[in-house]
This record gives sequence, structure tokens and C-alpha cells, in this order.
Amino acid sequence: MKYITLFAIVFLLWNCTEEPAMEKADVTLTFKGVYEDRPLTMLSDVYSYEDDMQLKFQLIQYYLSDLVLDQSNATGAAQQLVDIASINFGEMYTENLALEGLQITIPDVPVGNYDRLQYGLGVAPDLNATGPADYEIGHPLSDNYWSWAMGYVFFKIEGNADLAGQGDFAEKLTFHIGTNEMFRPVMASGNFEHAVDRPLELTFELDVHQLLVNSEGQYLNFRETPIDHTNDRALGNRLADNLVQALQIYRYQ
Amino acid sequence: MIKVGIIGALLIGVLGYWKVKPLPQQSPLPQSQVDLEVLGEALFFDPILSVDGSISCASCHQPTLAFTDGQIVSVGVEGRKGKRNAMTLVNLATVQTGFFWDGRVMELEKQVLHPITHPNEMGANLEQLVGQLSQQPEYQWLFAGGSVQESPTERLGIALSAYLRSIKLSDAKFDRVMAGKENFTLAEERGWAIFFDATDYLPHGECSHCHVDPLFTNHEFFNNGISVIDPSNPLEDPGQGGITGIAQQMGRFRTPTLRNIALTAPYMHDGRFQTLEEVMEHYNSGGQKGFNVNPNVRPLNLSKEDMEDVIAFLHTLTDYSLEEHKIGP
Repeated sequence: MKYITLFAIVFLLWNCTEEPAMEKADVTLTFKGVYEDRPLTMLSDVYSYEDDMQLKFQLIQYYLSDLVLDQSNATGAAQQLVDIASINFGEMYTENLALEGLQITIPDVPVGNYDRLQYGLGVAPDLNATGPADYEIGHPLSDNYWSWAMGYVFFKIEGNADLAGQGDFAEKLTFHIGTNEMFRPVMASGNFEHAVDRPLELTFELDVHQLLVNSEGQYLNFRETPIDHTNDRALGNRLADNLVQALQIYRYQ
Repeated sequence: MIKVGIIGALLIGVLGYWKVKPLPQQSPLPQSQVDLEVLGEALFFDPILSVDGSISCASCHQPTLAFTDGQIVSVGVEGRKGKRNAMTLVNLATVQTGFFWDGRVMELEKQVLHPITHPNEMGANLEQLVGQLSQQPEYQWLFAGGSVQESPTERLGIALSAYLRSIKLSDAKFDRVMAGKENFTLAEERGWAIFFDATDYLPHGECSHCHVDPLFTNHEFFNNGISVIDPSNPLEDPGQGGITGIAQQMGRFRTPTLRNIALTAPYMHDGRFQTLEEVMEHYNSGGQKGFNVNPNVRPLNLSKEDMEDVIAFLHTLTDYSLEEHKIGP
């Protein structure tokens, strides 16, 4: 798949000498971007923003670390589905592409009554201590690295703003956020049952409006701040918090 | 984490083939990866690959110029001009997003055959060329064995690409500074900080968004604002968009590596800038307006001194060992 790169690892942690052969099925993950209730496209659609501004996007990208399926009653082993993935919507040029999203399949995941999903938004600290030279070209961590900061850019927002609402998208927007304090571990509870006849299919939907505007209505004011390279730590932490609220997980079954 | 890429698998496959199928002894046959690179090197410098024997690959990709030619656009057989600037060939082993300025060929083994047959470059007919090569004792590996899977043309691509993959840079002053073996001058260090947006005490150059170290490219395609992109007015050279047909990719070109950039003038896909100073002036201006100009290309407000220091830093990316890059005898 061109737009998404990841290394998925399925750990086989059960004691195979005592247990019968464990049933397995594929887990499917789909990643989509939206802006409120609209599909998120790059270099195409215009999105209304706070204070009469309008936006066009060129790149939305984020890292997802250590995606793990777990059972709260600890009757089964946790299953790590994803080590590190770079979710990149940079080539979602049409609504059809945006609606389709980016899909990956994790093969042969042991079935189970999972009820927790753990993941991290950004690059987990142990991986953030590595660098591109540690990886093959094409690996998610072979790019998006700040050598001067010795760490990765956890997420990127790039685009253009029409500050006057007159159709002139002259203001260039670049937000590159990432440092260990902006890594956000998340645990979601719910029915993540995974069965042979009902394999787990999850959709991760990122609402970019919620990434820019928090639940209290505090919005990123592009008139004041069109660019940030994690220079403003308060802003970076706020956007990292926003990323957590902006990513919703759905199970369409 | 171990990952064997397609290229690696191909090479392993080729090497494995040699191991299990000994080739005739009378031919100077590759028995190792180095031998294959030597063969590719000989082909790279041999004008036999052009239709009239007048130019070789090295005519437009000269080792002393970091495998470029110093021309605005390259000149092929019979003085025919191409439309783009010759790209450096360093670190091609790391490219996975398509070759050429527009990314139109994904595999290096196939890419190397394009200039050989392009009428404005070497202008050869592959069928005729293979016939000529079959008469040359030093190139018999291309034809060895009756049951080989690859055709002589495919083996030509394998040999040339093996040589190109051997052209690697990693011993510039920048690398030695990063390894703690040398120190930047004050100007170089200041330029480094501006290049990488490393401090708020200096202006940001916004360079490293696309020119990511250690390769100083992210291998992606961008519109860097050197041409006005108007969807109603097709570009003379649409770059990546001309290949994909996608409007949002019009005017996008490969981000070139900045390794040995001081040796590869003139610059940009059409060679429009003669000096690094002109390149810096372009980026400092913020470039042309356009709906798909990368947002990291913006007015920088760099002073003359700032730009000079960035250029001083860029000079630390020169690895002079390339001038002596030689595999064979």
C-alpha cells in the first residue's frame, strides 16, 4: 500500500504445549480523515474554519505506535498489531479516496474476547530514541526525523489558509509537532471481540477540525500562528491533546 | 528489525543464481557483486551504448561533477538537447519512490535503459546494441548460459544498476562533524542551524522539511514554487503530474539530494539557477504562488549573511572521494 507504511507484528505468546491449536483470523484496520462531517481531501476541498477563515490542506500525517489488543480480565495474551505506522493522507485528492481511506490487514491474529485497545499517538519514546540510519528506506521511521532535536516529528499539518474568506489561500500553514512530552498513550475500552466468523474490522477516523479546535472551543489562530516546529511547547502539547480527542475508533459490524 | 527489500532480494537472487549455475570459464564472468559492479562500470563509461559511439553514460554523469555534467540541460547524440538537467547519481540505492525528476520509472534496472534509447540522449536501438555488445569479449556475461532467465537487455540493466548502486556518499565534512571527528566553522555551524530550523535565535531556512538528513532528501515530489501552476494553462514541463495525470501533482519534481550539491550546478529540473546563491534567493523570496506550492516554501527573510552561511554549510556535504570512485582496474 503506497500511502501507509507500517510494521505489524503478531506475537504468538500462548503456551502451545498445553493449549489446543488457537484459531486465528485477520484484523483489518482502516484509517480515514474527515473535517467535521466531510471527507478530508488534500489540495481540493475548501473547509470553513473559525473566525471566517477558510482552509485547504496539503498534508495530514501522524504516527501510531504500539497498537495492542488486550483483555481486561487477563485471560488471554495481549496481541500487538502494529509496532509503528505512519498514517499519511497526503495523496487523498478526492472524496472517493478519502472515503475509502487507507487500509491495512494484520494476518492471523488469535481470536479472543478483547475489550481493550491500547495505542500511542506519536512515536513511542523507545523508538523516538532511534534514527533513520537504524532503518531501511521505506520504513516508517526512515523519514520525518529532526537530527538537531534527535527525534521524530510525531504529526504534521500542512496547508493554506484564506484569512479574509475571499478565496485567496495565501497564508501557508506548517505545524510539525513532536518531542517525547507530546507522545500520547491511549487506552480505549469496548467490544473488540475477534472471531473467525466475525473478524475484527476497525476504522480510525481523524477529524482534523477537532485537531485544530479543542473541546472548549479554543482554536489554532492562523492569523497569529501560521507555523510552528514545536517551538511553542504549550501549543505542541495542546495539539497533541487535540489529536487524542480527534481520533475516533469505530467498529462497523 | 530485519527487512529485505525488493532490491536486496533481487541481488540475493542474482548472486544465488551465480552460485548454483557456474558460468563458462572463457568469459570474464561476474563471480561476486563487485565483479558485477566492475562490469557495470565498464558499460557506464563505454560509448558503445550510444547509437553513433559518440557518448557514454558518463558524458552526462561525470564523477568529478558528482555524476552530473555542468550543463543546463544535457546534450545527447548529434548535439540534441534534452529538456531536463542531469541528476546526480549518488545514493541511488536508497531511492524507492521512482527515478527521474518525475518518478516515472520505479526500478533502477529499467531506468538505466531509458537514456540509452532516448532519441535526445544516446539514441540507441536496444536490439542493435545487444548485437554489438555480443561481439565484445568483456561483455559476454550479458549473453552467458542458454537457460538464463534474464535477456541480454535485462542483464545490461542489472549490470549498470549494480554499478550505480555502488555510488554512495557518507564521508563529507558534515558526516565527520556528526561523528565528532571535526568541527564546523562558525559560518557552517550557523548555516547548519538555519538549515535545520534548529534554534529560534536564528531565522529558519525551512530546508530540512524536504532535504532530510542523512540523505538530504525525503525522496518525495513537490512543487517548490519555481513555476506558476495554473490548471487552465498547462505547463511546458508538468513533472510528476505529467506522468500520473493528477492535477494536484502538476509541477511537482523529485526532491534531489543535497549531497555534493556544491558540485552539481546548475540547479533545478531545468537548470535555471546557475549558482547556490540564486537557489537561496529563490527560496528566500518564497517562490511563485500556486495552489500546490509546498507550504514550507515561504518568504524566509534571510539576510545575505544568513544565506552565505547556509551555503557554507551546504559545502560541508561534499564528499570528494567520489572523484576517485573506481571499482575496476
